Parts: sequence; C-alpha cells; structure tokens
Amino acid sequence: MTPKHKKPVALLRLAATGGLLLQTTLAGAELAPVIVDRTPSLPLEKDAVPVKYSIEVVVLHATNSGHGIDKRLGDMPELKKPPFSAYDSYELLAKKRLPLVKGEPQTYQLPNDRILKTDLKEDPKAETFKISASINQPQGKAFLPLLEVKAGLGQLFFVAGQTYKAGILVLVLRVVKD
Amino acid sequence: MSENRRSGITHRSGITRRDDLTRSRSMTRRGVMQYHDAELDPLAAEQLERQLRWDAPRRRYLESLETIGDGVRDAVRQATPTFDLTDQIMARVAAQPSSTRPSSSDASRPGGAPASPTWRRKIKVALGVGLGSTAALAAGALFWLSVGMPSDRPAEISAATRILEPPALDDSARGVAIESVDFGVGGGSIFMVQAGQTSTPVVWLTEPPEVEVGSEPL
Repeated sequence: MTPKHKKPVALLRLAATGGLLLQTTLAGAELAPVIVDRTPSLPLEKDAVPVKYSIEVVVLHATNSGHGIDKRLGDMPELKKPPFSAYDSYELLAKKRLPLVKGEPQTYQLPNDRILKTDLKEDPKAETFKISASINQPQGKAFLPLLEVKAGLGQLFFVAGQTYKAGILVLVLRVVKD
Repeated sequence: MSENRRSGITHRSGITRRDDLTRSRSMTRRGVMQYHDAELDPLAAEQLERQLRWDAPRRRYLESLETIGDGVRDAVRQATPTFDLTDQIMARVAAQPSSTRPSSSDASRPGGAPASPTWRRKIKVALGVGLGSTAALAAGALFWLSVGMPSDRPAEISAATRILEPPALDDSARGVAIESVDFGVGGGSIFMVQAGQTSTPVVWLTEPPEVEVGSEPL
C-alpha cells in the first residue's frame, strides 16, 4: 500500500475513533442522571428515621348544663350514644400527647389531680399497639390500677366515669403518629 | 362356633352379637382414620359405613377429619405456586393414550416382546428428557430473571410469601381490644359503643364514695 492510500485510511480511523469516543461520552452523559437517581441517599436517611408514636389524651368534662358538645371536638358520634348520651354537654378541657416509648412510662396530671400513666408494653406490630394505662390518686393510691388495650393507629377508646365538678371526666385516647 | 357361622345361624346367636359389639368397640378412631385414608379393605369399609349411619360421634369425627384435610389441602394449594413442572409432566403423561404408555403387561407377553419398537421408545425418552431439560432451563432462567436482575420495580412477592404476611388492614378496620382491666376498689364496666361501622370500647369507672376528688354535689 502506498503512502497516498495510507493517509485517507488513517483519517478514517481517526474519525471512527473520535466518533466512538463521542458516542461513549454521550452515552455516559445520558446514563449519569440514572445512576444518580438510583442512589437516593437523602430519602434513605429520611426513611431511616424511626416513626414516633404518641398516645393522644383528650380530656372532656361531661355535664348536663345544656351547652351541647364542644365544637372543637369535631365529629365524635359516640358522645351522642349511650352511655355518653346521659350527659348533654361535653366541654374540651385539655389535649395532651404522651410519647409512646417501650419501657418509658409517661404521666399526665388530670384536672381532678389524679395521675394518668401510660406505657407501651410491646414494640408495635403492623401499627397495632399494646398499651397499658393506669390512674392513681395524688397520694399514690391506685384508682384504676391497670388497663391494657391493644389498639390500632388512630382508633379511639374511652375511659370515663371519674366524678368532677357536677359531672364526670371523659378521657378519649388514641394512638397517633408524631 | 365356626360351624354355626358357616351355617348362617350366627346372626341369631349371642356369641355373634358379642363379636359385633367387640368389633364395634374396636372400631375406634383409628378405624375411622383408616377409612378416611382409604386404608380399610372393602368389607371393613362397608361395616364402618353401616356403623356410621347410627354412630353420630364417629360420623362427626369423620367429618372433622375431612374438614381438617380440606383445610390443609387448601392451605397447601394456596402456598404452592401455580407453576408446577412436575404436575404438568405428570398431566401430560396421564393424557397420553394408554397404548403408547409402557405397561406391566409388556413383560408378560409371550416372548417378552414389547408392544412398540425399541427405537420409538428411545425417541420418546430422548424427547421427554429434552422437553424436561428445556422446561427446567426455562424455569431456571425465569427464576434468575426475577431474582437476579436488578429492577426499578420492587420485587414481586411470591404467593407463598403473601400468605405468610399478615393481611393489610387500613386504620378503620383495626379495632381496639381490651386485654385486661383491674378496676380496683371502685369497680366499673366495659361498654362497646357502635359508631358507624366501628365499635369503640368504653371503660366506665365507678367512684368509691369516699374518694371523690374535686366534685360538687349534683
């Protein structure tokens, strides 16, 4: 092969190599965002934070004073049914969230000075929580020594009947996400 | 006694009745189990069927065995993936005309000559092995594709795994169960208040008269 023929061939080779390099670069540039997308470092860290739950305690004062149900309570149809329908007025006295951490019982002083104590008994399974609650007198004497419930997230249960100022206290409890 | 039995008088003799009673007593749950598993010989099975007509407890026992068996079979059926190579091969073998299947009578033919020529059987064996290998390779490839290949979608959960998982419940379906309660001195009651489609438990406490706190006379 003469040098005349060699030059075009060399040029062709050069062009081909350049084209390949360009293609590879473009392909790399196209793939790069996909690779970035597949490493969700920030969302992973966010997901790794364990979800915290609390038990929400709503304290109501039930009387027969004719004031009706406190509008701040929203829709709570249970209060219109027996045995709650024995009282025509429900006033919201307090609302408190007690963190649910296994082995770390939480206390809350009720309007009648009794102490409500809540605790998470087991690690939650499928957003079902085993909770214990008790109500003690200020002197430490137990009024409601023990109540253990298994409750799903957001499900209500009531503890009512403590006499308080011409009526009773109604505690509405439910597990909520923080 | 044996003569009596042979002569047909046995049904009227007391000895036979005693025999029947003994047999009936001996027809224990084991017998019912054997009947359920089709392990009894035809005569014993017939006797047991006669007995089951008037023996309600054993009939119930048999029904319970059938119920348990159905439950186990259902569970196994649900836990087993629908794609079962062995079943398909067996079904294909069963679907073949009986003339093409090798039978035990082949060996007992005069001269021991098989019904079909040897080369045909060899081809069938080769075809069977080939088909089986291909199916096994295909299954292996499918398994590798589903397990080994990276995918943007979350891996599909097999039927067996799905059964073991607790059923997904939304918040409204999950209820509250009171596991234990100690009312202490005052006492109390538990009500279930129906509100909409859910029942809400209510623990209603009764105050002991001497410990009323912060209360005023009604």
